[in-house]
Amino acid sequence: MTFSLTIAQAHERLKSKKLSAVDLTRACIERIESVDKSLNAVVHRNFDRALDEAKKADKKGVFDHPLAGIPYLAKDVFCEEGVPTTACSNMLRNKDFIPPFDSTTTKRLKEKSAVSLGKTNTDEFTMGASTETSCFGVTKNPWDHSRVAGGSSGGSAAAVAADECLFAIGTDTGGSIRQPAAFCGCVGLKVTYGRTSRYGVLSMASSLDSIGALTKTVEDAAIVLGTIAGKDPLDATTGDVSVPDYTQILQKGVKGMKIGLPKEYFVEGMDPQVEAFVREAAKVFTAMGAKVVDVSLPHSPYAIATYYVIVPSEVSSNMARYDGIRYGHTETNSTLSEVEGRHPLTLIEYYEHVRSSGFGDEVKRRIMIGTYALSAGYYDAYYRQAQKVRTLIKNDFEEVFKKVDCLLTPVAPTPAFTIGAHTDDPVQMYLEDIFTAPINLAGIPGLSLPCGFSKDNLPIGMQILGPQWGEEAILQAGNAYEKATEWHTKKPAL
Amino acid sequence: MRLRLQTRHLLHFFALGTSSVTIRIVSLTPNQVRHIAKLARLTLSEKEVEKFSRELTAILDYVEKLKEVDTKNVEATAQVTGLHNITRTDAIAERPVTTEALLNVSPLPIVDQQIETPSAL
Repeated sequence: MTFSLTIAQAHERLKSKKLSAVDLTRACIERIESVDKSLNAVVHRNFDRALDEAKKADKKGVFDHPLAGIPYLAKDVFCEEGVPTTACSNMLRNKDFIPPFDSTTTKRLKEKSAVSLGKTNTDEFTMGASTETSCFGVTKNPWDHSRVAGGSSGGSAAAVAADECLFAIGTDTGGSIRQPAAFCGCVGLKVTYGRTSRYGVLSMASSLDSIGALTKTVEDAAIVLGTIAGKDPLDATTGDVSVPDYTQILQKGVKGMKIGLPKEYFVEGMDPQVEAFVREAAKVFTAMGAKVVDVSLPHSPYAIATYYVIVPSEVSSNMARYDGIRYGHTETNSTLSEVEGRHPLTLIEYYEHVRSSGFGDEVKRRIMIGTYALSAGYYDAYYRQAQKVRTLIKNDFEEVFKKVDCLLTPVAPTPAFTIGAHTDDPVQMYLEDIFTAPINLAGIPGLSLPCGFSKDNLPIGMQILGPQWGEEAILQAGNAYEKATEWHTKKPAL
Repeated sequence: MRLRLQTRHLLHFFALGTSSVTIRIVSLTPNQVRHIAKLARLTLSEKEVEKFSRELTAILDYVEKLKEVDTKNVEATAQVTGLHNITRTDAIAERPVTTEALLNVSPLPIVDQQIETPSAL
């Protein structure tokens, strides 16, 4: 089927004129129309514009770049000029925010003639691990509709797994690309902090947010990364580090590579099937000539507590911009006073009204925790202490990468959980990030890819981690594993 | 995971009852929650105050474990890849968007290139 092509396969066909960009785009559109009613992965459809872009690409007829004419979906936090961007929040829901500019990522994709099909579902402002906090409702897991697709990039992961697009872009602050990729059985790449630009992406926690790709293969992830990576003057935290041609290093293999298994990532309480498949993957690496060794990251047990102080603190600051003045939902002052049946609201009352009715519970929780943690008298005990523990977590990784090239870990402690399982228990939901959040705290890259299926036929993911700026090593290892196994070829019945 | 968390809580209470180690259980009172909400420009119903008091207390209780970590002589990490003081030449550059386009995004009335907001007083 045309929609099930990988980027690399479609590129070959486009280049040799065996397939047109319009036909490819139309195939994805038809796929979305046939499967998304039940999945709810796509929240904004930009089909007319996509077909126009595809026509332009065909007319130009130059398909030298591997993404030329390739249809993709973006998580609904990427600004695209003229396209409603909602963060799946009532704060921006009804076309309240139509950005007049492009994020650097969508701009770079546009420059290479990639075709934007629309926006995917996410937890509200990316705050969640299940897409359940989206104002548009939960995204269903393509493998089992009673389960979550993961989050926060659950829409992007489900869309890729269900072949609604050839690739999707997402954001990862504590696991938001890798965990949904693992739950849906696709590839998810979280890059080094600053490898890709955050410009034009609605911020959650600025010291942790990173932009990456969800794809059907590791090779495709390398293609997308090569296109969107690199220093951006509009994001001062992007690193001035050269971007290699990632597709060139993929075939290098893992012979002689040293891969560490951190003991803190195989803990009591996790699903034994997850542990078994990750350990099985370690054997595949050994068979290919890598050396697998046991290592330790001693501060791992403190990662979630660190993360859930730093994130809400930065959230409370970043969410301050949603004040209903520069953007925000559209009840005006006059209608508000009618609703209230009294004097026109003062500015403070207006802020409170807009924010209380616009934000959902998880956003409110984080804003309040952050406001508390940053307030006078509590700052040192919470935010500053968390930043110090963050240093220790980062040091753990730096030490271990002196001994090994990559680390191999599970992505999440369990396969996809049932919709509603954690909604009444925020702490339980936070523990979903136990194996992914430390990676953001250390600023290192991580690649999530399928490594097995549970007895309930749910995908299980593993995570390959590298040192800062070390995307090559993880893509190399991931590609070697993918070539040696067949998990990535399995498709959900839809 | 649920099991681990409960075990941790049990240990927590155990420590409170039997040893000299002081572990403070942080509890946010409804009044504190109202105060935090006010600072954050949120209004909460009474039902929400009750719910958030409970949930925020559970979160703060969980993050208390950070206090166990010895961070003496440890520097705080604010920028994880080690960048500091990124500067650029103060040159005139073309802006990616016009003022008008940005003003258009506002839900409030625009008067003389300014957004008309509710009165501050």
